[in-house]
Amino acid sequence: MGRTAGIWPYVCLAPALIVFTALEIVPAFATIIFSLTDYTGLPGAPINWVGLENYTSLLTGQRTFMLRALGVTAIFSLTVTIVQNGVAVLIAWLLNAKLRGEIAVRSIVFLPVVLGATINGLTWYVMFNPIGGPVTLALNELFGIRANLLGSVTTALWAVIWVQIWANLGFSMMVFLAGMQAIPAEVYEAGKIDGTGPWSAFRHLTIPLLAPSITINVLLAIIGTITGFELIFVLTGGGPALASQTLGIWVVNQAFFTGSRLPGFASAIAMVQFVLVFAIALVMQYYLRRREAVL
Amino acid sequence: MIRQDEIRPAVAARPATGALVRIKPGAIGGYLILALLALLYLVPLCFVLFVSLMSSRQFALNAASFPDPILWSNYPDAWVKGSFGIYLVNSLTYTVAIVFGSLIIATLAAFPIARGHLRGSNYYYLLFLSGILIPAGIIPQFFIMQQLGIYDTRLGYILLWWSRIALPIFIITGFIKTIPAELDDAAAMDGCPYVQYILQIVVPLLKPALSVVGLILAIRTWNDIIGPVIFLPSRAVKPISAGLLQFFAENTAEFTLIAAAIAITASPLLLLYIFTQRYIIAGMTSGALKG
Repeated sequence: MGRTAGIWPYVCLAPALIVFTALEIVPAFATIIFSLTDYTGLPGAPINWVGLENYTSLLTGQRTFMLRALGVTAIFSLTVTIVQNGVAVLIAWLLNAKLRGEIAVRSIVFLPVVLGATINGLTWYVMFNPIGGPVTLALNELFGIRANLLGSVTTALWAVIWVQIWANLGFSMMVFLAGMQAIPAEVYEAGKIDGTGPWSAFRHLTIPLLAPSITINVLLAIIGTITGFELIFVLTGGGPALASQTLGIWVVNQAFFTGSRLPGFASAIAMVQFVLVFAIALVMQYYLRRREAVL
Repeated sequence: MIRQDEIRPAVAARPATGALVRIKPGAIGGYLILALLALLYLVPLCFVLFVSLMSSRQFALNAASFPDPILWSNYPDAWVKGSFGIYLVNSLTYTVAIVFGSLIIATLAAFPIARGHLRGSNYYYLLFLSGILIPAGIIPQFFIMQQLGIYDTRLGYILLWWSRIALPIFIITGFIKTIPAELDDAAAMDGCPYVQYILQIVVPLLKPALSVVGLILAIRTWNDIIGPVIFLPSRAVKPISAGLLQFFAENTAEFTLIAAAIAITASPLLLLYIFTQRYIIAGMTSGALKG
């Protein structure tokens, strides 16, 4: 059919190729070009080359903001990646033990993945609200703390981290569960003959054999927390006083939402973000894959 | 030779991690953890539901309580005040256009790629695959859409979503490869036109893959917040997720109305999830695994 079809295969390819190139590939690479300009985002305003000015600005005038955003991103990314995957693997292990009600728990924990950032974020905004929010009331009852969790510099980032983990736990859990169900029962049979207890089986059989799922989940969590910012956008917008401003939200704030919009400068931040993700992915890939290979 | 039914019992018994089932104290601990987990997810969702049925007076006095009396008026109030009718129509338009458009474009491209009908099919495949990994260039997208005059238009937003074609092409190409190519040759002998063959013969065979991809796309479109906030600032073209956020920004203190608005936005997703959750969960996690 291929040889007789002539030009038609190319005609079929064309729509996908055109939209994909124009709105996905070209923009992805053009970020580097915009990072070398003073692009303001205003239609008709001239765009001038400024060389590496945006980058030097990140290291000098904007240095405090840069370090702040890097620090917040590191806390956000590390905490979410470690806690989310640690809890998810334990829950998946429990679910895999075929307890009653397993399917119901699975569906409920996965639900936020379907509901999305706006609904999850606003749900927790209502929960956290300082007037009558249950979280606020509980903290007051239990510890005597009167807290505005999302509005305080010391707690905002942690409140966001909590919601981020709550929202994405179901996804990691299902990936781990799929990985566990792929482990042949014979492995555990053999372990049982050797007198392995449930905890020891988890530690020495399940975890090592789960290495591919761990690689995927850890990578997705790291990339998701460095580049993603939907929940932060809904919950705090990066505030208060930049307490929850990661690199990801800083890019869009700087490009579209703050008073002095500077998409050119924001492109430079996006490039830093890209290099960071790329480097981490490369190192993690190497490290985690090597672990898989050893096993 | 080991016969299949000889292996069965060992698989069926599947003890090891399942040891918890027999060890009573361990199982109790397990149930306790699962019950706490379920509560952690049900409490926030139920709280929003309760608040949406409360008077604002009750909310101010004692929010953490069952709505008494049950007040339905928050729903019509939020609906009218937030002009959710416009948003709902927009979201439905976007979802239909993006889901069906993406599926058609992706299938048309995936077929020649999967069958090797293009010179360098594999390179095109890798090019599309790269789209799963590279980050979106939001700022250049903004610039290009402004230049093309499609910024803040329905068409622009739909085209933007059509460009996120990497995952659909990836999944559909994989699926087409599992369909035997003999059918193609038979059709070629009969002189069946190429495009017509894809749309009338291949598409029906792809139904399982297309419905899973379609579901994922529908959910992602419905939930997209960054896209509309950046590329659709005008109220008239906003989808429902962005409309909800707008409503929240304009009525920050009116929690009972916000809760009703959250419930309105969430209800189509909940319905979809109840009926198709197996496909949704499988599609979303396997999409990630392959990506």
